[in-house]
Amino acid sequence: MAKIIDIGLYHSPEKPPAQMRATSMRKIYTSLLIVLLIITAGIALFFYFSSKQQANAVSETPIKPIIKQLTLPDKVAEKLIEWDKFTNAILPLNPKKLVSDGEINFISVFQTSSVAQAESIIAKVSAIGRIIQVIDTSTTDGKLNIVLRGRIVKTHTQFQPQPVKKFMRTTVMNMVDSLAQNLGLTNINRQVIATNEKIEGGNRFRYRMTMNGSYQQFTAFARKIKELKYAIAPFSYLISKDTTQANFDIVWGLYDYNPPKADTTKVASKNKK
Amino acid sequence: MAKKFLGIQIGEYRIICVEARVSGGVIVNKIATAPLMENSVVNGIIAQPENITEILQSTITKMEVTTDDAIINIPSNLAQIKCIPTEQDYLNLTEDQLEWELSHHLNEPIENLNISHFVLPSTTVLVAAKKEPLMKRAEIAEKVGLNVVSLDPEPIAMFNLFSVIEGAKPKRNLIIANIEIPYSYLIIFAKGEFWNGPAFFTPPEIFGIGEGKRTWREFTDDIIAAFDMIIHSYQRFNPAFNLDGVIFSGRKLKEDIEQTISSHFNADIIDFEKILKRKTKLKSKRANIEPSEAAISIGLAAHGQAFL
Repeated sequence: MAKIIDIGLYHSPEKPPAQMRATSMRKIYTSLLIVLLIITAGIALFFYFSSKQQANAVSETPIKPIIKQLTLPDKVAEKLIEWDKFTNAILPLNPKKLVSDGEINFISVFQTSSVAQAESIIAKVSAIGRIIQVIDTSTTDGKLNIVLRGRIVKTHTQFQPQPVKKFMRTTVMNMVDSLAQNLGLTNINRQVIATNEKIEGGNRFRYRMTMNGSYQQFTAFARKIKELKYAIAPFSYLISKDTTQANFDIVWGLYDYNPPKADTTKVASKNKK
Repeated sequence: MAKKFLGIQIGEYRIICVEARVSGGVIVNKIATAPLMENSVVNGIIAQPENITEILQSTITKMEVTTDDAIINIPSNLAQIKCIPTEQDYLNLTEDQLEWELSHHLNEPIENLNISHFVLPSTTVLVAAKKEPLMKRAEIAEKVGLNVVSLDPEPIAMFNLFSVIEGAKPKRNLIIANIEIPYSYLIIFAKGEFWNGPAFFTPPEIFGIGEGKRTWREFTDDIIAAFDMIIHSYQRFNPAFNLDGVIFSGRKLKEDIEQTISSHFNADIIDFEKILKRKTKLKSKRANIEPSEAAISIGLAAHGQAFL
């Protein structure tokens, strides 16, 4: 096709589309709008009912965490290991006093020469125990005393100690004394407190042991106790230090219990057959 | 993409309206004619706009048109067309370059005219049409709800029709004589180039309209003189121009007159009606007119190609 001469002498101003066309287009748009509305309503109803169903649903019984039931040997073993770890961690910080119920709580007194050192001690004790609180401060002879209270960190162990039968009590006490003596601790004395306490899972024999020595000697002693492999754990203890020597006052518990029995039911039933 | 356009020729005695589907070519879907009352249009100027509006409204209603995009004619005597050699970007040199150029070709103030131009490879077509009659035609069309896409001078519409039907690479040099009342005119379609010829008075009495003393012989002499003028003027512009054929459009001339004219210039008469029917699928019998009488309306619709 040859070129068309496009002479632009006049052109109508833009006007809205003819009514007929607008009507037909409106019909298309209206139809589309209705379809969209139906789809939207459908989606909304779906979500509404599905959410309602969820709200009415019977909740499943929450799974209760299985709490490990600790037996007496487990408790004794954990107590001994916790004591070992705790004393080996805190005594190098050189507390002036350390008191504990041997299970959860402890109170320690530190003597420091400056606030900075006190803060450093608090930080270090916080790393060893938990919920550390400064319960008192005082100044004596130009030194800053701080009293800290905290809790011993719980631990778990597979260590299974032997029960200390009645006839073995003296032997075990002698073994503990010998261990302390061998590690250089001196002035070892003992005093029976309770001979036969009934506790859950067994019996307990309590006695008090006092001795003197250095913190290094005592931490070595604490580490070695578990190697006796007997059910012995501190009931409570007080460690105090004067200028040169430290005094150790420990109440030990010797535990007697029946060792767990093997389940023979199956074997018996097999034998019956 | 094909689009429909209305080509509306508001003539001196009738309105011819076609609805055509325009794509690569022009296919006439609907055609209608409506006679006008005497003195509704005088020398191309619409004297009774209400009457024309009414008739146009009823015509497009009867046609049941499916588009409102319309291209309306400007009679040849109301549009001045000048052709100048194409110089690249010449008319874009300054904003008023077109006005300046046209002022050298026109005898009336430019303020009264709507002006435009179009650039072809060799010729640049300058067009000026009187504002008032042009706006009146647009108003009437808009009043009946049409969107006036363009107002085209009839010679331009004729050229556009040949641009479409002669194909992508037109090879012929043609003179098209459009015989219309009150003014006939000639154009040259030279292998896709446009040249505008003279417009001359057509005595209505020889077509049985009105009274007068002019004869076919005198009118033939006028046509031959117009042919001479257009050939000489175009050969000055393009000396290589050789006429290949003559086309008679519009009102039907007597066969011997067509032969006289063509033999005078040693050119063949081209069967325009046959071309129109073949190329545009025109069925003019429905409107009780000769196919060539609808040529301007189809040419107006052909302009729609520019808006695809």
